[in-house]
Amino acid sequence: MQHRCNINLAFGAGIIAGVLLFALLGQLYTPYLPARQDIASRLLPPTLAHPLGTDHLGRDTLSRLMEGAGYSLFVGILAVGLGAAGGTALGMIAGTFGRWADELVMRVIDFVMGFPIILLAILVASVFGPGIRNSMTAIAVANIPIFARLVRGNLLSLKEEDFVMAARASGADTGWILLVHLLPHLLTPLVIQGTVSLGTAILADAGLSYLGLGVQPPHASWGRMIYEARSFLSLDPWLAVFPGTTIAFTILGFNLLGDGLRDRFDPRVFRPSKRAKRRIKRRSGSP
Amino acid sequence: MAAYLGRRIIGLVGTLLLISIAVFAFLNVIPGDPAQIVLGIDADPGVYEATRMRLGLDRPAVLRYVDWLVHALRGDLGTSLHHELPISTLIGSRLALTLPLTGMAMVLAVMLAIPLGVFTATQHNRAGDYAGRFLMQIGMIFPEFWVGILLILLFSVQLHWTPAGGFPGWGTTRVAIVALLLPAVALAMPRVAVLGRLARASFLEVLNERYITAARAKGLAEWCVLYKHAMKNALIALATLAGLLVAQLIAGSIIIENVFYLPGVGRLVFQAISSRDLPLVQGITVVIAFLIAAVNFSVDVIYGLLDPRIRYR
Repeated sequence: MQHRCNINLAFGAGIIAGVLLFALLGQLYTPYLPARQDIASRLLPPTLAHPLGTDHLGRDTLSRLMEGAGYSLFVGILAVGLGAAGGTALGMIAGTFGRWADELVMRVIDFVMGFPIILLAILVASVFGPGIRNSMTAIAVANIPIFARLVRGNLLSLKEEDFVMAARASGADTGWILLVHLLPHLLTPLVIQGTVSLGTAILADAGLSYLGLGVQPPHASWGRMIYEARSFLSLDPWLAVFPGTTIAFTILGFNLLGDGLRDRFDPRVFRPSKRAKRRIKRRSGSP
Repeated sequence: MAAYLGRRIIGLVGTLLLISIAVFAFLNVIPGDPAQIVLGIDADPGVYEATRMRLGLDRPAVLRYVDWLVHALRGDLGTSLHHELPISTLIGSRLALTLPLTGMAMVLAVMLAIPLGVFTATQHNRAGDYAGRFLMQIGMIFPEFWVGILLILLFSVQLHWTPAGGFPGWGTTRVAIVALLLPAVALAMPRVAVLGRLARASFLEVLNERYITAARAKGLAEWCVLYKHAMKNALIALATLAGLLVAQLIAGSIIIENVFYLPGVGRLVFQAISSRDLPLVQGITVVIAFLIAAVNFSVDVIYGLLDPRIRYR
């Protein structure tokens, strides 16, 4: 099992590298300006001049996809990063202090988890107006509970390890132990969850920008491109096909990468050492 | 059971209160001045004052909340600024589309996912398993709104079988159901993938139990072993997901209704954002959150009925 070649990891990493390159290239160079309109060449099918065709305003689809890739990844990475940071902090509070802090944090988390991202985004958008920052905030908040649970679960067994006791015996305070001794052990599960979350975040961002709650025009976003294509389906089906394929491909990349990483490391829960196991047992045995 | 039910009811009431406070605070306290959001920055001072009075902003937020809650408990969610109609009437008429739509999607998702899960589990690590898992992987990566658009492309634009959107109303049930068919399929697709994966995992676990071997040994037909004996235990794991599934379906229907131009709650809330109709946004988010909480509550209760172990935790 260990030595079998990890197809998921290879394909996932390949796809994501491709998407990253596509987005980075889009920041430096696009065949046309993504917002440049050219009414004379509107709704073109793929041609040599426009490899993926043009939309109803004559804007180049490839250029817009490249610009959209930048926004999608930007929103995804920042939202997941913020969600992971917030979730890690909350999970640490819950996992370290236990008792009522744990109870409180877990209650709030259950509450947020039952609240769909889109409702959150609708609330944010109706108060602060639609925009990239607000869709990102909604996605970040929706990610907090996932990471908080992950960190808390790992901490509960991790904190019983010998090295924690050793650190405490040598006078380290709780904050130091958390950041210097425990955080490195949490990195692998965090990275794996982050990869999976990036896929869902980009999917959520596409949905929000489809509704017009994400990136605002004239800037291009994958979801909005599909929305605009909706009115021209019978005239130019290509318009809907390319952004959708790009989204699906990107999500596939993140899913495969996440699965591959999990197969490779499988540390969803930290495996406690024998002694720590005994301690956990003793603790749960005597309430 | 009574104690279990009591705990659940207290939990439900607590959640509902928390939701209403959170939504109210978000829309009424955080913005500072809701009247300004409703009207925009360059509003006429006279109109501004009138709107302030209409929203009741001359009174403290806590009083406004209590007032709103008391009215809401009587089924009165206030009046929409844009539609000039009672919000509960508006939402009620739109739920007549959203609820059947999510219901259809739910039925579709379960009907497809469970056989798929059973099939892949029985074919474990054989060609059928890989094919099924490949299909589920594909189902997970497509955003529902894009599936919707592809369905429109195929069935409306190319084949002219179904309308490309819109809803004729519940006058003739058959026509109405046909109009909801494509949206329901689009909505169900991503859920089939997630649910199917879980069904596969829980069936794999159950099929290793000894009582399954016993059932097979006494000569039961394989379908009976799978769909009667294994199903009962596998379903318990799936039931936990039901609450989450409903939440996702309702959230997904907000997008799908906008893809198919269906006059449901999702379309209503979307229009409410564009017309800056804060009372309506508030009413809709609270109602949707209540629906989700209610589903979670009933899942918990059914769960307790199904599995006595859970009641005593």
